[in-house]
Amino acid sequence: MRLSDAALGLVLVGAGAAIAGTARDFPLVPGQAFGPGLFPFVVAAGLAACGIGLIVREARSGLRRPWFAAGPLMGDARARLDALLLVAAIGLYLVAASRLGFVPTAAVILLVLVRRFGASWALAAATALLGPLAVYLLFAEWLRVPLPLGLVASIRY
Amino acid sequence: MIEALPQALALIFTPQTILVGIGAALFGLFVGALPGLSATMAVALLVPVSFFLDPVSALTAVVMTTAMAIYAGDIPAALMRIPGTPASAAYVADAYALTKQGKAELALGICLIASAIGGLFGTLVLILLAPWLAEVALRFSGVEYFWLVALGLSCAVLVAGPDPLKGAVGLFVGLFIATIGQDVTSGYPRFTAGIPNLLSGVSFIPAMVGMFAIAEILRNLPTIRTAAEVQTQKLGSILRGTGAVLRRHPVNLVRGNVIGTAIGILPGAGADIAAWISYAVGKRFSKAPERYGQGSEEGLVDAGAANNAAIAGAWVPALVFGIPGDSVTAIVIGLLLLKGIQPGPDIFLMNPGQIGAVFLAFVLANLVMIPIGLIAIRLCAKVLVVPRPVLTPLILLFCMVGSFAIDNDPFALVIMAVMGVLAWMMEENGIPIAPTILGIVLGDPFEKHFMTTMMKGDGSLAYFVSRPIAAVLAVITALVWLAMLWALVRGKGRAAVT
Repeated sequence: MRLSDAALGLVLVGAGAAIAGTARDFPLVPGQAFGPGLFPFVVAAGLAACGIGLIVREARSGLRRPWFAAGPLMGDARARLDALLLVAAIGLYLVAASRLGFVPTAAVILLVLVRRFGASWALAAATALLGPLAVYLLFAEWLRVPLPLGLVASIRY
Repeated sequence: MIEALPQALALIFTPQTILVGIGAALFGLFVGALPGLSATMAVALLVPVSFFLDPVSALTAVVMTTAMAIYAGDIPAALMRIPGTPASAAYVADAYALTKQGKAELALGICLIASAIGGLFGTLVLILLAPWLAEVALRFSGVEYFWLVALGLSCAVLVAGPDPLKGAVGLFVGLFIATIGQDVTSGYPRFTAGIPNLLSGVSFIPAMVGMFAIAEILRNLPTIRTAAEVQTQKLGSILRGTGAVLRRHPVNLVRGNVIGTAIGILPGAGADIAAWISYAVGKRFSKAPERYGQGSEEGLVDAGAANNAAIAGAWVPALVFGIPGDSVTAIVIGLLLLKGIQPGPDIFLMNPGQIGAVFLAFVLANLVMIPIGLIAIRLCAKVLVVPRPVLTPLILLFCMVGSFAIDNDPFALVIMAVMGVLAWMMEENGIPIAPTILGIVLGDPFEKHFMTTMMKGDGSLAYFVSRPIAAVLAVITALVWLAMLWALVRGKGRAAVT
């Protein structure tokens, strides 16, 4: 997703305005004329100044670039779906890991993604079988991170 | 510093530290040698694991991983014409051209030895310069620190890339991310959108994992199904002829070392920029500039030494001032803070043993690089064919578990994903990530020094330049910004003409 400098500038000016607007409502430090809003206000001013700089620079060279271009990831339908699946995998982990447990959730994610990215079913199955176990051994057994047990808990305990 | 040596030796020669060091070296070689996985990503992936280790083991792991990864990036550069890490990109054409001429051994040998020498030179500067600077820094008050951080952030914008305006955007994005959560002076919650997990700020390690690992995965997705071609010629003796080349180009070696270390010390610029600048300077002063890009041995010496020298250089401001010299040391500072160690001149007084152990780790890393590197060159033809469709989902899984592991908080995955997408969008639009990282790391101390100075001066800006050192630092910072404005105005004029 590629924005032209002018479009990027508009986004930055908007972001700066939003930050400054929110920071205006922050309370003041007692006895001073400023408070927790001062620093965010400076940052917002910086963002907006950069945005204006980008707009002016692009305007001087004649606004010839398209406002928006898809770029290599968003422009390719297959890569776009890959990226969606990747983000969906993170979402699935968030939703399912606590109920199903770490190992089954990770196995599903690996099976789907490895196969999707072009490996054979056999390789995908092997990765889905061994990968979660290796990560589980490293984090849960060695480093004592409480990875969710989920379904396994009812068998193990 | 020398009196801390026995303590440092005792800290580093423990079974755990040695094992961790060897593991980290192999991990760094593996990640560095795989195209598309950078040294910074290696460190970001390592942090969730090293978080659970003692500080010396954790820092040794980071040092080993970076040194090995930056060297290992040269291997696919020579064999596949693809840099393993961005730090090898400057001379990839030369390394591959030598391989095409049947001199793969020479290319790999020059890179290995120049890397080790560069790394040792950078380490020497780190050992000599850092304790001395720390003594100076002990006399600094909040105002000086404010200007020091301001100068560091400004340098990061200046050196971040071809476009300082977009570098500044990167910096302000980072500073904004740092303001999220309770503010440093009064504890007022800012920009949390009512999410309690954000009260303590954007959790640092999930953010780093997102910005370096998830963003890189996204960037590499369009080419994930294309397998690269590896030159699999039979390799002879790696080190034959390497010594002769290095002796023929002593100036390049010394210059590469000096430029690399200096660029490393500058906040925000790391191994990749050091390699580009050293390569460009080498070409400018070479008697055979036409050979650069066509298999120039000189160019390999120039840049191969510079990128490894930069690694150690970056630790100078990180340890002395808590201002990271590159993205890796930014992660290191985050790691130290999580472990309750505040980087700054005090640690040279409080923990001389730990600092000594870090120095030793650097020396060891650059010495063991030669034998381990030789083995890696032999094995890497096999490593380079690890299929990316398998590796990418495994990295994703590792990122998710690693982010979660720090606070055992599922919200970390949200931070990781959001920051990953943000970093990817920024890079797509030419906004460099390094100033953002510095902004995130330095945002809190920057604001704290800013606010306390404002309060001490009762809101008067004159108080910021009331002490002599502060005034000097302020002038230097102003000059950096003037230089950027000047470049911008000139660049604008040029753009208007063309």
